[in-house]
Amino acid sequence: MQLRDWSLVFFTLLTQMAVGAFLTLQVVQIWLCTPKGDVPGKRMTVRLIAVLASLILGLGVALFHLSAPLEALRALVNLNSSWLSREIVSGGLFAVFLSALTTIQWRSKNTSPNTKWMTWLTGVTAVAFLYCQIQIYLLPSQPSWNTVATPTAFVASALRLGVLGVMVILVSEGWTPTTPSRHSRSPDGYAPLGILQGLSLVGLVAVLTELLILPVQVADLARDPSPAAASSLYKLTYDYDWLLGLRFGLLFVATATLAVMLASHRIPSSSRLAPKLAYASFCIVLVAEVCGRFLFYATRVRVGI
Amino acid sequence: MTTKQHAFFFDANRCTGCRTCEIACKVENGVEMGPRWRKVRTVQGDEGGPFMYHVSMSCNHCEVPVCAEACPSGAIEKRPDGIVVVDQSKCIGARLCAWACPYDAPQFSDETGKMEKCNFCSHRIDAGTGGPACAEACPTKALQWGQLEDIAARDGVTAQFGPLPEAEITKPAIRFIPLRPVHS
Repeated sequence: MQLRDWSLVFFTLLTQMAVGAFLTLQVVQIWLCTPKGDVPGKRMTVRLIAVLASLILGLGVALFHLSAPLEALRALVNLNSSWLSREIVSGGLFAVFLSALTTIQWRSKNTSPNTKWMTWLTGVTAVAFLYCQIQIYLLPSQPSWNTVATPTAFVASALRLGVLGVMVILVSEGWTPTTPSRHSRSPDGYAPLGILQGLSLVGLVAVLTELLILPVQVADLARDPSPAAASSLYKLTYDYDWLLGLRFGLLFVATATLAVMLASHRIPSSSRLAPKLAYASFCIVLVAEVCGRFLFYATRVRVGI
Repeated sequence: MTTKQHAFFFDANRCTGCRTCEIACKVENGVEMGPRWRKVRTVQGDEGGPFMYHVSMSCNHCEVPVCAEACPSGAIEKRPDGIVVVDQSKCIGARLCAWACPYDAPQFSDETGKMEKCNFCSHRIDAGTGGPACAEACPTKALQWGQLEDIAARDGVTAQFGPLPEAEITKPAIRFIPLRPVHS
């Protein structure tokens, strides 16, 4: 793998985290919905800014993959057939709509009529962006990419990083695991019944999903009769076995951390423990994702001779 | 002569692996160190008895040029005569074409930061001074060029050959005469 391919590792992870976090925030907002509406505008604005920062950083990092970054706008030319052009357009629209939504949220303080449709528009472009990103890699010339494992891995990465990213945002706001009860309250005074536990559970499932993706990927490569598929399989299971092992080790640690997080409301000192568990889970999963995405690019072998 | 689709012809029985085609390509097009628009590779094995042969490959100017489809900046286009060319002034070095091509045809130049590949010596064809330098330099006539329609009509030619990717992916404008077994 060449040095400039590292930009793609961080581009895909940061933007997938943004997609996952944005969609998770909407679910959280529905979860937190009160009779008056949703969470206060200011707090939501800060959360959206965090998502926007991840997206913008990711899009910026992608420029380093080009040999002519200053001519990046040319990449919008071939919308007719190039998934990369479509990815950049949808990613750009996601950033524009997310910025607009953040501005609306910031100005309106509480829910405004524009918030709802702008949220939908942003959500749709986020999903479209992820879809285009997946399509780029479904190339018949690259057997290790051209499997169901690629869309599964990208969606699962978005879910893992998004959910855990939101969990980190919430604990940094002062959320703590609370025993589900009508008396539980968030710092804003709204009921956060079991929200951190819910995120922990989804994060846990998303982490465990990875354990299912590898057998699928290995089976797909093993079924493919091309020497390229065999070479990719060899790279994955021999050349980079240590990295694969590290990735799975980290995911197992993350599973344990999230399991403790899930049950942390039963621990007396949960308010002090929860932020540490949330930050640890996020960092561990992030490192595991970097390992996984490196493997994705490094084990690619083209068909033919 | 019709100009529907320029194409290559390769006879594996005639190629000696001398790499004259590679050198002719480099010299004719001034290709710098690093990128190889044409590559001669050696294939060997022992399935069904020991064998060894050479394959000379470049861009196959495919009927379905997936490189052009993948290129986000529209830098790759297929000419009316079937030749697939890179407009380097439009290339931004995204290298999607290299990922998409099953034949490793688009090559990244560290010198220019752009993609480059075989252009079928289109300058010679346009000027009417000849065909691709590689084919014209081949001493054994293992590598030839012509119109796909004519080449495909020759006896014993196939579109699918040895270790090459499925021809259906891009419909390459090249036909082969595979290696004939010489053992019983």
